[in-house]
Order: sequence, then structure tokens, then C-alpha cells
Amino acid sequence: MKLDNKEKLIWEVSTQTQLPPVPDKDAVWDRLVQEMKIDQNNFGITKKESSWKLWPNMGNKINIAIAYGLIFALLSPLAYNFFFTKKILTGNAQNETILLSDGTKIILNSKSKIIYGRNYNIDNRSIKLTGEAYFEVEKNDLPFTIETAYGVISVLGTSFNVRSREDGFEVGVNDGRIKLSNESYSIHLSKGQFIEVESSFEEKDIVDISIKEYPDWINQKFYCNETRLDELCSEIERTFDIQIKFLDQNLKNLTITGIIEASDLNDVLYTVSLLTKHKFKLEDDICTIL
Amino acid sequence: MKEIEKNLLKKVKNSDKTAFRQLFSDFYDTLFRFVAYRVRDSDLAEDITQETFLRVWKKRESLVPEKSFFSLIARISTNLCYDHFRHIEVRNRHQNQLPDFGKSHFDDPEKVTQANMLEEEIHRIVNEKLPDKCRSIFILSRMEGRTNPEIAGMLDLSVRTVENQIYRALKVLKKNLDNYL
Repeated sequence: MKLDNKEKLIWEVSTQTQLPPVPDKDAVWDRLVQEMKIDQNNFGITKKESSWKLWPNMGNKINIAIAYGLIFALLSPLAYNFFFTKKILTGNAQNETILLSDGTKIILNSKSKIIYGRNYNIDNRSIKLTGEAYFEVEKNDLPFTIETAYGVISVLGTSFNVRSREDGFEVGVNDGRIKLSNESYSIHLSKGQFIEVESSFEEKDIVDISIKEYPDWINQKFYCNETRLDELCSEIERTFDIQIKFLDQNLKNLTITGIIEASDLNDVLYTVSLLTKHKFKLEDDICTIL
Repeated sequence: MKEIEKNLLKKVKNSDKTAFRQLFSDFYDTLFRFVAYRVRDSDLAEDITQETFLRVWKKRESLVPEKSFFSLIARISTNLCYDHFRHIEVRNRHQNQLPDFGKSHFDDPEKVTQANMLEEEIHRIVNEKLPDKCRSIFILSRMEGRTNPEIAGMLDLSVRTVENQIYRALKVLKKNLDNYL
């Protein structure tokens, strides 16, 4: 290579840059191994936020912290979820109707959440549900699956309701046929059938839907069939975004059977009051059953 | 050299941590200085270097043992540097300031001599004006003091290409350094 004087100067000067000393390789390796472990633990779909404690040596310069944060954020499962999944959630007293790209309609009841991948209807049709939702699934070559804390529901094209809350799990089919399974059980439910279970999905637990307008919440009704009062009240709390308190805790164990119109809060509370033979007091957003 | 690297990569591809540690030891220093030259910040360079190796591990299944490992980590780290610069730029834009990459974090104000200023400028131009491949080769040559055949081996290029790229780098530098020379 032939260089002129200027190029020679550049050539010489460019070696003079002072670079910081290389950090202790063993320490870096140890940290790297920790992160590799985190990565391994997070393998799969259910990614969880990694702990910050594994990053003890944060530099004190703010720009490092921010850059660090950026890199971390880009790699974190949260970012993964942000970029690759869509999440829809409702608060108390909110319902949401979602129309998916395959024509499937989901009506999300209050205080519920669905998550699905950006690749929905491309290579899968799977949805995660917490809470309660009514599904009208369009027929399609891809099976439609709903993951819940209690089990997985798979269908081809039907309408049905799934309730997967802390206090219980139920599925009722309005049309078509679905498969409900968990690790040890698997059953089929057809049109007009309903099941309310916690873990063992068995044929004997399947009952016929006894009400015309199932699911009740879509039709602004509370359907109670020996439903515990506290269960009904949590439904009322979610639907109207209020809090219900019991003065007499024993009242919670009462069971109620009947259909309650759920369009107006006062009507609902009045009915509850009639059924329990207890008066109620509504102040702000807190209802006390006396 | 090339064979050893290929074998290590094959093992890493099969999740062999010992092989990965070997690769890490072989390449860490060079990569660290390579990144440090770009970001001019020791802590940040450490983070980016570590992150680069982590990404290699995460994507180990898609490694191609026949391809140059340094090219791969140079590319990953360069992208991470860009993420960093982009972030700084966004932040500066929010503060209505122009990005100021020219200032070195290693700067010692008492030593700002002519040569240092020139060096600073070279530094800036290498980071901002050179294309990625050209920059990698230039840094390996100048910072690491590697010979052209060594660089060619590391990056899986012909010696001729390395020479051309260095020459190209010098041309760009000369053109941009007119005021300083």
C-alpha cells in the first residue's frame, strides 16, 4: 500500500487512541452465565419479568443506566410481549367487544383479560383468557384454542362462554362443539351443555343449560342457581364497579336461585335485599348489606 | 485457527457451555476494545460486549460454524451500539440539543494537543462516517494491531479485500480531515 504523508499521519495517529482496560473476564463470565440461566428459565411462552437483582454493577452515570435500561428493555420478556402479543383488558363495569382478523367475535366481560399473539390467524389461533368472555368463533382450518388457568378449550367454530375466575371455572356452549382439557382430563361439550368445575373435567358433571339467555351477563342478567351470595356479589362488584360489604359475614354463605335483571344497580341491590331479607345502604361506591 | 473456531462453534450450537466459554475467552478482549472504541465508555462497552455474547448464546441454534465468528459478534455489537446511539439521539432531541458524539469520555482537558485533536477527529470519523465492514477492519488493524492476513482470517475475507477496505478508510479519513492536516 502506498500512502502519502497525510495518510501516513492518519495511519500513525489512529493507533494512539487510549482504550479503557479490559474488565476482569472471569467476573464478566460469571454474570453472563447468570443471564444465560435466566434465559433458559424463560424459555417457552410463559415469559416472566427477570429480577433486577441480577444486575448489581450498574454504572453511576445516568446515560449508562438509560442505555442499560434500553438494552434490557429491548430484550426483556415485557418487550417481547409488547412486540409479539396483543393484550386487551377490561376494568370493572367495562365490557369490550373484540373482532379478530378471522372474523371471530369475543365479548369480554368486566375485569377480564385476553392475550393473543401478533401471528394470530397466521400460524395459530390461540388466546389466553383470564376472567370471563363470550366467544363466537368463525370456522377456519386453524383450530381455535383458549388457554385458561383451569384448562384448555379447543374448537373449530362455535359460540360459547368461558368463565375463568378465582372463584371458579365454567364453560357453556351455545352452538357447535368444543373440547375441554387439562393435563389429566379431556371431554367434549356440545350445544346446550354446560359444566362448572375446578379441575376434573368429567362427563357426569355436564349439565344442560337451563336458561334461555345464556350467558347471563351478555343479556344483562345474573343467573343464579344455588349460587353463593358472595359469588353473586363479586359479579355485581365487577359489573357495576362498586364494593359490597357484609355486616353479617354469615350472609356470604347464603345461596340464591333465580334470575336477576342486571341493567340497573339499584334494582339489582333491591333484589338482593329481598332475597336475603336484609336491608342495604349504598354510599358512594360502597354498598353495605346490613 | 479457523478449524478450532469452527469446532467450537459446532459445540456451542449444541449448547456446550465449555466451548462457549472458550470462544468467550478468545474473543472477549478484542470485542470489548472494538466496542469501547465505538461507545467511548468503559461501563457501556462492558454491557454491550456482555449482551453480544448473551445474544450469541440465545441464538446458538442458528449459528453457522463455517462463518466467521468475529463478523457475527462485530455485527451484533454494532447493532447494539446503534441502539444506544439512537437512544441518545432521541434523548438529545427531546432536550433540543444536537448529538455530540465528538466528545470523548476518556478526555483529559490538559492533554488536548494537536495530535490529540487529530486523534479525536479520526475517532469521530471512523465511528460516524465509515461503513460497518470498513470500520471493523480499520479498528482491528489500528486498535488491535492485527496484520491484514490476521484480519482476513478473522473475518473470513480475502487479504485483498482487507487491504482495499483499509485504503478506503484512509481515503475517507483524509477527505474529512482536510482542516486538521
